[in-house]
Amino acid sequence: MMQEVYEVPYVIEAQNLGYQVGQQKLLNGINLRVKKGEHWLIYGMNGCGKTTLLSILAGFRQQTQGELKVFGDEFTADNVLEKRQKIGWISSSFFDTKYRHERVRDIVLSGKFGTYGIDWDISSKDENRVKDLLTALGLEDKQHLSYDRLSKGQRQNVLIARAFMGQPEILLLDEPYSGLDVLAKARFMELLEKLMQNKDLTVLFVSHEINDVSKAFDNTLMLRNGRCFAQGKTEDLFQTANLSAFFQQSVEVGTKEETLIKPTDERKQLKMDLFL
Amino acid sequence: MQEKAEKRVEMLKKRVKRCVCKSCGGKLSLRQLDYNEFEDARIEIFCDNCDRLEFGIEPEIYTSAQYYVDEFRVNMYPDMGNNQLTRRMSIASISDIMSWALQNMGYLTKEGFSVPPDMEGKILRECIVLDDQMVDELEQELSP
Repeated sequence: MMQEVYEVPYVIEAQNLGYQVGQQKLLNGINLRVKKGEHWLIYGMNGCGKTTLLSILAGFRQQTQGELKVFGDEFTADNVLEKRQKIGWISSSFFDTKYRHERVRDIVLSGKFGTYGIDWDISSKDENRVKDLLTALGLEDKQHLSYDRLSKGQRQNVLIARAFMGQPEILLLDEPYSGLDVLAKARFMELLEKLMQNKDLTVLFVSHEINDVSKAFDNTLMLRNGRCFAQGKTEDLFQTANLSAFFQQSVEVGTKEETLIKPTDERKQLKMDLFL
Repeated sequence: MQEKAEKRVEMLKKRVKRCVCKSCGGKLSLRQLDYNEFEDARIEIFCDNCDRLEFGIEPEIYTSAQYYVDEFRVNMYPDMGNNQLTRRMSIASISDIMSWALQNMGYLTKEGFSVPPDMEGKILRECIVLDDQMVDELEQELSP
């Protein structure tokens, strides 16, 4: 009897992806194939095109070159919002340019629709989910405030809540620790660790911080000046020779000491079941 | 294939014509937020006065909420003081409550006010309307 082999589908397939504004090529020739459940690190220095790449993968911008399939097919007018609803995207560098005076509640609710603003069909279940997520992230009294009245860390937490308003199948995390205080970072790291145990959830984590490199990311795409510098297994890429070539200067790879502070007070820990 | 997307954009266009901002009562407009090929992905309703994305509310609801807040001196956010901001936030909150009630009674739909009320699947439908005979029967049941 033949044993049936289950082929894990690709959820992201980018071929020769590029993005150009005027004469400036922000991204050029990116090839990326991500299978369902994989964890990728997208690593690069400031301005190398990381946020641009994620905004295209999330369906908020369109490539000017190449092909992109997400969940098996291209973005179309008919499916763009449906696909966005299944992609949890946290990016303060993107959303801080879109949101200013919008109410926190509306921003979180927009995650359900895959839009920037809200739509008609809002149920009591949705309203309660907004409250639960904001409470879990310490923003229970902020839901009627406008985005620009919050601190950078609080805004980041609003975007985390927005990403989890739906049931994301792909999580795109654009420097998610940016602006978070030490405890909030520890809580989010713990949450991420738990989320990554879900074999159906695909995670793409963007960072320019070498300390964010973890064994939890099976694969890495290294970006430099909008182009792919290297792509492969994380442990293979983060070696002295490769990193020296990447930074164009001699570097040494050290060992990371465990200095992370973890909250032990259960009352102040994230309610994981809201996100899982 | 594009039917769904066109429907949403059409709905937004109608709302802009019909509704007002639920914070300031001002006129709404459509704004393109991105250079995206798909209308659905880039167009949202905006209040130029508040300078923000705003889904809007029927003007009749806004006027009633404004009247309620001003006449009854309602402040839903006393912790934030008593000022123009809390007044606007209170009007928006009352507008939300009124809108919810009207929707659930079937008087307000995606297309605006609906007469007769669309009770399909709404809370009002779950109410029991007692006629004289049913009242009499209930009284008999309850009498010792």
